[in-house]
Amino acid sequence: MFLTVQSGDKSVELTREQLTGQPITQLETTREKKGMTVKEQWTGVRIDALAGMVCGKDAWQAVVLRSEDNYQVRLSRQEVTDSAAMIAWERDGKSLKKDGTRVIVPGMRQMYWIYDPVLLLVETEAATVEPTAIVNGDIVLERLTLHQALSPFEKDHGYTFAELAKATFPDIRGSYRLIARDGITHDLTFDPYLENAVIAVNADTLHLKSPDMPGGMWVKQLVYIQKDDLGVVFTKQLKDFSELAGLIDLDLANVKVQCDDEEKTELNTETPFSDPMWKACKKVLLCR
Amino acid sequence: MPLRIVYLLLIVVLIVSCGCDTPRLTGDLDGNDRILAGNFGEMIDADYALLIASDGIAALIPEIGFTQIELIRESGVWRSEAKVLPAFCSIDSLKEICLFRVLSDSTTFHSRIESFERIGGSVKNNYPAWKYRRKQ
Repeated sequence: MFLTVQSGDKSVELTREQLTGQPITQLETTREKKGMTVKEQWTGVRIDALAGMVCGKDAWQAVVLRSEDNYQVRLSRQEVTDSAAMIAWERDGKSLKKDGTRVIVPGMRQMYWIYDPVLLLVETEAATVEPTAIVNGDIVLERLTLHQALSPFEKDHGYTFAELAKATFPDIRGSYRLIARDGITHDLTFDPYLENAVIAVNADTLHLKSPDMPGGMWVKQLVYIQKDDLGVVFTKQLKDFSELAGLIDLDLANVKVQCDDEEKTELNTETPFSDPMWKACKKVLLCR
Repeated sequence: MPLRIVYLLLIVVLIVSCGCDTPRLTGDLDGNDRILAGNFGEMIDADYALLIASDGIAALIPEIGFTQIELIRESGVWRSEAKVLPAFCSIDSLKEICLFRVLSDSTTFHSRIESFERIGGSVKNNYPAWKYRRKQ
């Protein structure tokens, strides 16, 4: 099958002919390539139209597009609709190489423009809820075993993702949100992506690698992990809690940030993470 | 003398009958954990609690929701009442409460929750919780 469109138990399998037989749309993009500005005309089918094949027009929240080598990207509903994202099979009137397809997301980085997607997963529920608490990841790492050679990345030292997950989250199965210092967000499931993943340490930075993910999906400068309502923050690459709040879309105007100590001490979100106040706090509660 | 023995036996039977229906407390425990009727948040300091019903349905509730849970014992049956939380957090026949603590040395909670599967989740009044059922 060429492309599977799936939402929960419902799925539609499309041959190439069936995909190209969908209502066609065209899109012009401008991007920088080798120092030059390139204008391209793409022909394909809109992703929101494909999502509508397996669930109601307004019933979905996000899509995950996955290629055969397990590379995947996730796009929110807004990113899909605002950019008029599509799966294209023609560029400037010519078929793509090997009769392939490509995800086109105008305005977003090339890492989202994946080749030959085989699965379009339509999510009807938000992948994560707003965090109710955030654990100090630096304290968690201090308690874990630092491995000198991280199998299969023998040249790296650091921690296994599974050990970190067991120390922090009540149910390690399911979906995690990982956020890098530059704001790039990955939503990945424990099985198959993270079960064998490692967190490599390089000076003050953490990098997530997994033998079960293409290298392009590895997370450089990992600063935040969230599972369900619980976040874990690695503070060494961040200035203060306000900066973290910006990265995770947390509206501090509606949240009281308290240390989960006996006094439930209220914390100043602009106090630098290097301050002993943060170093002493294992977990903060976010009270709304 | 025999009457005194009967009284003593009666007291022992009463104590045992009052205690045996208390929900079992399991998971990452510390020495201070105990279950009483009353506000759950005031008696337990943990990061998550899995409230397990006698029919195998369970609710995973984060610490922030603990103060919204009342544990009630009526006619020898324990139940949780949590009107502010998602509806499935109110459990009619509470059999077990399994606690999770971040950075606990114990692995008991993970072993226990692995015998359950997640069947959904919900957020009500900004309080999230997740519904589980015992694996077949």
